[in-house]
Amino acid sequence: METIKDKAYFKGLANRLMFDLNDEEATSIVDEFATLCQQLELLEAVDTTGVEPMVYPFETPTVYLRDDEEDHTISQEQAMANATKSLQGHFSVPKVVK
Amino acid sequence: MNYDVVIGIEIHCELKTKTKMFSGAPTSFGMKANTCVNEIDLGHPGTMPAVNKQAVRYAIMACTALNMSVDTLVKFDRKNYYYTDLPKGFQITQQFHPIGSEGYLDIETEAGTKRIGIERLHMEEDTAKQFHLDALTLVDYNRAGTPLVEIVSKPDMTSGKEAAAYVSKLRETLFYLGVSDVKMEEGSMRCDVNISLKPAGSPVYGTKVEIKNLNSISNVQKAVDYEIERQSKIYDEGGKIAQETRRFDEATQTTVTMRLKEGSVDYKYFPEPNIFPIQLDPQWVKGIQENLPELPDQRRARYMNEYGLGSYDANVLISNKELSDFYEEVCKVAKDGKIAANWCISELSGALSKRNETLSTMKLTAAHLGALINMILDKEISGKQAKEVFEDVLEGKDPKEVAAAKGMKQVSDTSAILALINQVLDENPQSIEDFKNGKSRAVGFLVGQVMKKSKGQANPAMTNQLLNEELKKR
Repeated sequence: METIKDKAYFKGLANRLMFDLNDEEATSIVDEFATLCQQLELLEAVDTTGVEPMVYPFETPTVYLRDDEEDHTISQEQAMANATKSLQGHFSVPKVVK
Repeated sequence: MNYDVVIGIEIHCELKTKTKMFSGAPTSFGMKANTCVNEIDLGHPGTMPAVNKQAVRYAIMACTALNMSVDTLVKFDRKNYYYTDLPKGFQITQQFHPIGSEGYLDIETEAGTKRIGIERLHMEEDTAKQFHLDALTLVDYNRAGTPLVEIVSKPDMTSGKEAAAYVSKLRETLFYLGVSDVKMEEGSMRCDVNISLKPAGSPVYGTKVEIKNLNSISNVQKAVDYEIERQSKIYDEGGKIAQETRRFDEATQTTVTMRLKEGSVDYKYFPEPNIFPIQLDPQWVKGIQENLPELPDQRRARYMNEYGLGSYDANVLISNKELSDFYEEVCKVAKDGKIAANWCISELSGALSKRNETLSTMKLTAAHLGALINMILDKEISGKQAKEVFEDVLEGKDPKEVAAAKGMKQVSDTSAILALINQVLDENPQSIEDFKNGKSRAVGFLVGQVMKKSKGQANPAMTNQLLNEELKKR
């Protein structure tokens, strides 16, 4: 399995998700990811012939439904904080329809 | 050539919940952009959706009213597409397990009642509102995440009239249930029509065209009628129908191409991993199903049986829920439901439209109108006097007080009316002569004279009858 990802890879990934990783954090993620990949290799060794794939880790359904009560909103400024471009409280994006 | 018309309709309807389908941010209409949102609506990483209980309740109510079976195991799926109207990159919907399936709605057609099948009803979230300017698009996520139900009919309709009747009936049903505002002009109910033609009797369906942007029931009918004509003409000329999405153009009253559909888009649906299947409590579901508000058909039947209304009057009342609710309050006081209906439909509706007001903006109370109707029934005042009193009742005044203040009363005492009649007859020998010569107009004149002498207080029906009897004696 081709799994070796370096610090630059994770820094790039973090950047695309709009946050920064410092060197220390990136190193730690590289190590964690390598461990994770080894564990997946162990799982790959399990014979799953004839076993139906599951969608959820548990088969018992839940019963929770949220009551229709207002909990919280964020301010317009907070909502727009990550937007590259905004105009009059709206997200501004390139036009893609004619 | 003759064609069979095949029409199916998809309706999207916003549910009237306080908060969104998967977040506790408020649902809104007309609020400042991007102020009714939270991290879930904006698809921030790490946020988890939580299903709104009230939305599920409303969906169950709608399913029940539409005679559908309800799946008590609620599951959601992801519809993946990348567009700015949903910031997550997908819409949470119910592709594989709609909450409701296999129902129907009966509509009235010229040929009688027709049953329109309903294939499915599923819950999903609404998208953001976008404003397309010259060079850019502005996005407001306030609407994103608002609970929606999508209701898909079977292709059972065959004309513009039937399509309009179906949308109208569905709209009325959802409105009486109280699950949605169903305002087509504001977009809280949206309608897409699929329509195709095939040679009469052919088992093979023709190419389907979808019409969007139908913001009123009359436009549904107009668009379908236009589309039937357009497609027939193309087939008659040996042409082919393009598989496309069209929209109804208000200005030209025609349908115009929006976009061509080339094959179907692959949305890569898969079960929504962030929402586990939810098992609804069967008792909770049963409680909702057994306690539905009265539906329009039930109310119509009750008006006809209980108050003896004809189907026309019943329909006029039902089609305006506010008026219908008011009518019921009037009937709690008024002794005759049929007369109460007449007053609500003609006098009251007329007064409202003349004043450009609605019941909620008027001071008028149902109890006062009921009392006014009883005063006519009890012959305390005449119908003509009642109309005069009604003007003040509209302003919130008590009809008894108004009638008393105006010195109105109706004389229904036989001897008093007879005395007036004989006085009038003595004064008008020529009219008696005219009557004997077959001029029936003379009676009207004489009744008028008696009414005048009584200052409008003589009971007109009694006056008429007694006068005829007295004339024959002379």
